[in-house]
Amino acid sequence: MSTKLMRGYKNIDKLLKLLETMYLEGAFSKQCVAELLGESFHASEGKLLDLVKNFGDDHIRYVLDGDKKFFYAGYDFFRDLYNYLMKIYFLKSTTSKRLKGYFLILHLLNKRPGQTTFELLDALAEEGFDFNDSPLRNLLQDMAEHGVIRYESQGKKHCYYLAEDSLIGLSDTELIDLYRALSFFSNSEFPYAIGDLTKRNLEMYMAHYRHMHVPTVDYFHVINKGFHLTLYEELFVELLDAIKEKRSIEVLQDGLITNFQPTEFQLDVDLGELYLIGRDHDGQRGRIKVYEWLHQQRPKMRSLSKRTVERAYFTIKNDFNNEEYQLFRLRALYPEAKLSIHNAYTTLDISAYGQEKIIEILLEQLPILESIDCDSVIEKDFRSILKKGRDLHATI
Amino acid sequence: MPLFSEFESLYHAMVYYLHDEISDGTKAWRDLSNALDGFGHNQEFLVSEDFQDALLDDSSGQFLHLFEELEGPEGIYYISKIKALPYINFSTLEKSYLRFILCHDKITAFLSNETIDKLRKALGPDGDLPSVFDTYLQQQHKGHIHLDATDSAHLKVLMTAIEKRHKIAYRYMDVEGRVYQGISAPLRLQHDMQSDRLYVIHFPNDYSKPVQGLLRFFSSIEPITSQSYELNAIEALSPYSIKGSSTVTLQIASDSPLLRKALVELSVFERVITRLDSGGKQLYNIQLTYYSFDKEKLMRKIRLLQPELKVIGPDAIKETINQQFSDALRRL
Repeated sequence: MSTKLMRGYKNIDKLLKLLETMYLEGAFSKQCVAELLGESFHASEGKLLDLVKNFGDDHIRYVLDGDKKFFYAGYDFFRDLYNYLMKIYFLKSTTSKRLKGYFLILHLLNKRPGQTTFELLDALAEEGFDFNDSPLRNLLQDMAEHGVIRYESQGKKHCYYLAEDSLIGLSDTELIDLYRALSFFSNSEFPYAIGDLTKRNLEMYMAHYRHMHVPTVDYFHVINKGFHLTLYEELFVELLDAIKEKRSIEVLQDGLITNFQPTEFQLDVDLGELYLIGRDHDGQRGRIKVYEWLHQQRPKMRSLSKRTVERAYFTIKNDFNNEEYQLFRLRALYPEAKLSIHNAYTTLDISAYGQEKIIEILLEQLPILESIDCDSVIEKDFRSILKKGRDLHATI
Repeated sequence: MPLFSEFESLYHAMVYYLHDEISDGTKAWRDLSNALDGFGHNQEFLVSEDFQDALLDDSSGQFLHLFEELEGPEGIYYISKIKALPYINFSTLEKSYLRFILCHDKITAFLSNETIDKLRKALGPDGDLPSVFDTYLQQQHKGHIHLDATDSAHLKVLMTAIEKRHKIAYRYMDVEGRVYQGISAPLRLQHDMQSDRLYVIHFPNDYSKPVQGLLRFFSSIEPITSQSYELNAIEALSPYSIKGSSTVTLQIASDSPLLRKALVELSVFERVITRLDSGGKQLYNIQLTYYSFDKEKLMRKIRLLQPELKVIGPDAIKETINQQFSDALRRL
């Protein structure tokens, strides 16, 4: 069997870019898709249309603008976005050798548990399958990480076994509870794809080994503006490895290529943005927007040292009809703010990185904002935005 | 390790599938071809013909080594050489995710402490260690609304009722102290990530349309196992969503520093975006549909994208923004 039979999508980054555009811009034309994917994408226009149709007629509609047909995505599109991503990855490449090796190793470990790498090499040769030492070790490691086999260390040797049923101690009711928990968290808590893969495995386990009826309902509908983050999850996992292994990556800083040592991720749920935090070769702290990897080979590093913590105090009018609800909302929106409640108004003491964040909060609360007390530069900028916003929407 | 393992790919799934299909040793060659077709249909995938040919071509002699060729009275058939496939287990990454949610402050709304302990043990020696997502992923500006024991009990009743399509008896008190009670069909639960609030969307017997209530404002939810409902959540909600929706047209320049932020902020709404050329300047025209109960959310988003996002129409929204900004300039 030739390896070309094992091909997956080679242009995965371009497809991710297309999915991102569809998610964020809502609408796209055939021309826009072709432009985005460029000439190196080996799909004809017909294939691109098939790709669009794969999302389902329920969620993809189109409008005509002159002679151009624009497709656009429906409100529930994020589920399709994710399902389609799963379909793409379902075509993930492998090689015939690794595929056969995988199943033969399972077969051999079932016949005789506890074999070492060298014993497995011999046993594979007896089956007429020629494997070298290094690719076999690599395959065994991947299979162990995938959870299908496990090993016990005996000195420098590893003895391999088939993985056992790790959920044997959990009752059927507890498995249903876990399934429900994963239904909630995989929709609400980044990383979504990893959560969903965990849920899928549990589903298979319940159906195949416990012969349970797995609920097919979607309990939760999640209002989430950050579902496009799932498109960067493979990159997120790769970068997690870089952090753990203290590996540097190349980024652009002031137009020059430099090394960047990532240390952690920062997820801004409000903004739907994932950042990678780290240090450049001079030890200066900086951050990178993860989505930029999709758009350019090397992302830009922005210095964090220039950003300072800003503080602002402001008062808002209390809503006597909905006091409890207002308080509940303020606590949900600004969990780090210190609130002081008075008779007619509430004071908020807020600290945030950068003046933009402070101005955002002031604009959010604008209709009930009573007074502000903050840095004069922030106040000046805020007033300037108010004037521009007013003039932009002047009706006369 | 990679997010999506090759071991979850189409090719591996196909071998698992074939193993299941012929492991009883009674399937003949003809049936194997049908089995592959069946696999394609089950997975909503058309299995590549090249792959099928190679799989079924015994002259290549490679792949079919996994299956033993036997001859019976009705011709050649195959049995799997692999006598046992492993338990479906979690990968290292998935185990990390499980450890991550086991530390989440909402996990007790779903799992008992006893189940949490059992799961930690099931995850092996690392079960008590913090997950990589706890160690290396900071979450900013995320509200964490605590779900208490009552919320948790209500959540369980609701999820079972949604699964089994059983009705519920409920008692609800809104923020102004009005009490609503009766029998209702729970359609689904809704989680607003930004405010971290959980809502129940249900269709009361004595109402003509579905209603939405905050989970924490329910003082009682009891299952009624003797009464079931046939409603599908999406079908039940769609006619009311369309009736209550309005549109607004917005515009932002393609070179605006707030373009990406605007696209992310507005992605919670259904919208059609077209690119316009206005005197050599590229503009994004955003026609957005919103429901009446989302109007305040929309206004908040328009405000925080100022002065880059322009309201083109309707005039009422444009005037409201102008008024709010003018008033603030006078007041502050």
